[in-house]
Amino acid sequence: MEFTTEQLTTRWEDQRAIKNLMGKYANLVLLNREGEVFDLLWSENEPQLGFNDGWYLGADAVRGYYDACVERNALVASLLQKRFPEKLGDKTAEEIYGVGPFKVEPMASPIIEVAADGQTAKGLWCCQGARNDVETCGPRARWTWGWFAVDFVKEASGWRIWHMRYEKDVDRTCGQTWAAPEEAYPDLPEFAPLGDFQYPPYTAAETLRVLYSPERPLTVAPRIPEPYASFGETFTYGREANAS
Amino acid sequence: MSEISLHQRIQNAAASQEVENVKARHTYYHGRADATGEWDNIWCMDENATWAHAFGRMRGGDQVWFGSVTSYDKMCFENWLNIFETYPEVGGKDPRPLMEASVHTLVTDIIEVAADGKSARGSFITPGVIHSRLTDDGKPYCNVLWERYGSDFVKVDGKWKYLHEHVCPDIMTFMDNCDWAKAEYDRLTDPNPNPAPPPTLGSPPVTDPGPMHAPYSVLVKPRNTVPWPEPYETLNDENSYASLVSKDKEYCL
Amino acid sequence: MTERVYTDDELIRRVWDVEEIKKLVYKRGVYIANGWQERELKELWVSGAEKKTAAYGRNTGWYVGMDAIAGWYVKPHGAGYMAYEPASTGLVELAGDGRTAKGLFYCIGQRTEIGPDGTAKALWIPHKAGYDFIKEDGQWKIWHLVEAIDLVNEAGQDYRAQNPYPDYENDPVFSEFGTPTVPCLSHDAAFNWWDDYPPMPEPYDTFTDEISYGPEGYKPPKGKHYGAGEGRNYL
Repeated sequence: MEFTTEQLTTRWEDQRAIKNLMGKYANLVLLNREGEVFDLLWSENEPQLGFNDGWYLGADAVRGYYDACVERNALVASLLQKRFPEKLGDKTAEEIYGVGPFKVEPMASPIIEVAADGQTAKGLWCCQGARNDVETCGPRARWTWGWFAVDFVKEASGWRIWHMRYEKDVDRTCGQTWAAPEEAYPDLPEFAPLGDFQYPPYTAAETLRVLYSPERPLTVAPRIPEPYASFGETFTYGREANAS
Repeated sequence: MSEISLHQRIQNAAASQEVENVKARHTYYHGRADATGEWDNIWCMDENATWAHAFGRMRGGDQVWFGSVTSYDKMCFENWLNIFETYPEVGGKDPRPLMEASVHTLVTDIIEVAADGKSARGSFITPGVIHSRLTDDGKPYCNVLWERYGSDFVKVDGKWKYLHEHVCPDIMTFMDNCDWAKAEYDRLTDPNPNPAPPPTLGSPPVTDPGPMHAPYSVLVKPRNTVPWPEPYETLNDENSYASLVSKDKEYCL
Repeated sequence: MTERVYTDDELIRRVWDVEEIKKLVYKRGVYIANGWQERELKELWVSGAEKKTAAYGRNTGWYVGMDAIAGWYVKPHGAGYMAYEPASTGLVELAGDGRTAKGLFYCIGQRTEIGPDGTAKALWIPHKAGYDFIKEDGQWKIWHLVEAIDLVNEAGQDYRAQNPYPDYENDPVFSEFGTPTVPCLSHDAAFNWWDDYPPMPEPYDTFTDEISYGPEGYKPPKGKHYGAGEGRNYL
């Protein structure tokens, strides 16, 4: 495809904006500000969010996932407040919100293709993560290895996430090999209420990716974006309409 | 934001790539502990230059040079004196890179170039490894250090240079036998805890004293010390990782 | 080098050249993750006149020519294989003449696979990677690549327990490189980054062998004298 000087410039600016957008996503997650993610970064037009085990489909479901992250962050903070009354006891729920989790999901090696029509784009990122959250066993840091595969759509307010799948190969306690079964930690009573917490059920529960084990067949990364003219001429990172 | 010409938009696109290169050069200079190379070649060392870490902010070219070059070299030379008897093969070799390779990789870049094309701003997440083989206790080490950066760059005499750096250390752990979150929780709940690990890099003289960031702790919220840059017109105190001492520089007029 | 002045159109096309070059490196990471080493050589590396001068190096030397590279690099991968090559910290210099480019990247990578004893091992492999790129028929291709591995450490194991001297003969990641076309200890990890190899690319106008990341561009560091472990011989 041939582009004019101005088109090339606009396409470069689009690509830069998309890198920035995903950078903001990673920063909001790191800062436990998942409550802002949907309104700031997502399209409301039939968004889709996929993880290894299923899809959240539609604005309500995707927003519901991030709301649940906020709810869980608040629960973690309240449990830490009970455990450390001398350090956190005199603070309000608002003041302690964000204490506990530290979830770093950096975006590396971006492969981005902006459609020739400039209306949509696709990107694939490698994510080497260091994700700490509080679990029923207490704070636990995990090395994660995975991929962010994302379709974007350009709206009046700028580029927005349309379909996103975050597929992980590894989600393993730091200091343990992921090539052998994970060594479990004993549960701690002070964090038992986390065992009752559940994220909203997936709109479509299905396996997108199986975590690594030595027995796992060779599992390829999400498809690399290819140059395309308009979205109808390329593949989607969203849930295929005919997926079971 | 003001409308900018196609010519300026193209200049800004090229500028964005240039500052990515400047930032990467920092990584590779620092990996060799070549502080002289870094601060000689890729920094604008005028009175607005700043370098900040959890310990505080150095201001002005002279203070930044003392903290980042003089003090850093001192650590390197002391290290050489500590290892040369055990490892005499270090003789004749530049002592600086023999201290350690401190490698802060650059990902998650959010970059904005000023509409006026005279400055640029970037935030980064930096997963890193700091490793060395020939050490004074005879054992190699590889610390795993994840940080965030907030960086400002300016165009001086046609070249892009660093003006401000704010380093935010977040996670410090080891290759690869440590659950850093559990270790922190165990320390906090131990009736006789060991003191928290000392801050990295000591405490060089600073104009703005710290703490200017807090690393991960179970009881501390992740801090937004270096917020991502937003689109902006020109470098000023509202769009900068450090306030400007001299506001009559070409890059902020 | 002569400072060139570019028109707006030339400059934005150069900006896109750099973007395409970075994308090529990032695609290589996906190919490695997918176990597509054969496809990588076919689709991402030179296939024209420079096939014979292509080079793939590691700490202990270079394979030169695409046939030699394929001879050691292409292996079957199946169940239990997983690799990540998150190339980062890209520093790319496009030649003034626009025909070649040089790039330096760092990668805190990992490779996990089933070993000869039938068990899986997960290895951290942080390394620097220096690339030369050349444009063939309008497409950027990898021409020379040298990977300087800093350390290899099994996930979950304490790196401090290792011998300080890298074992180039017996460590599986180093020894798998075999005997390359041009044997040469280009990066001795014992001395951290003292040998500065591969070095940062600098702005340049036209490619010459002098600046190549292939074996022809390698210059031993000054002041080397003793190698790792040799210095005590006089004591």
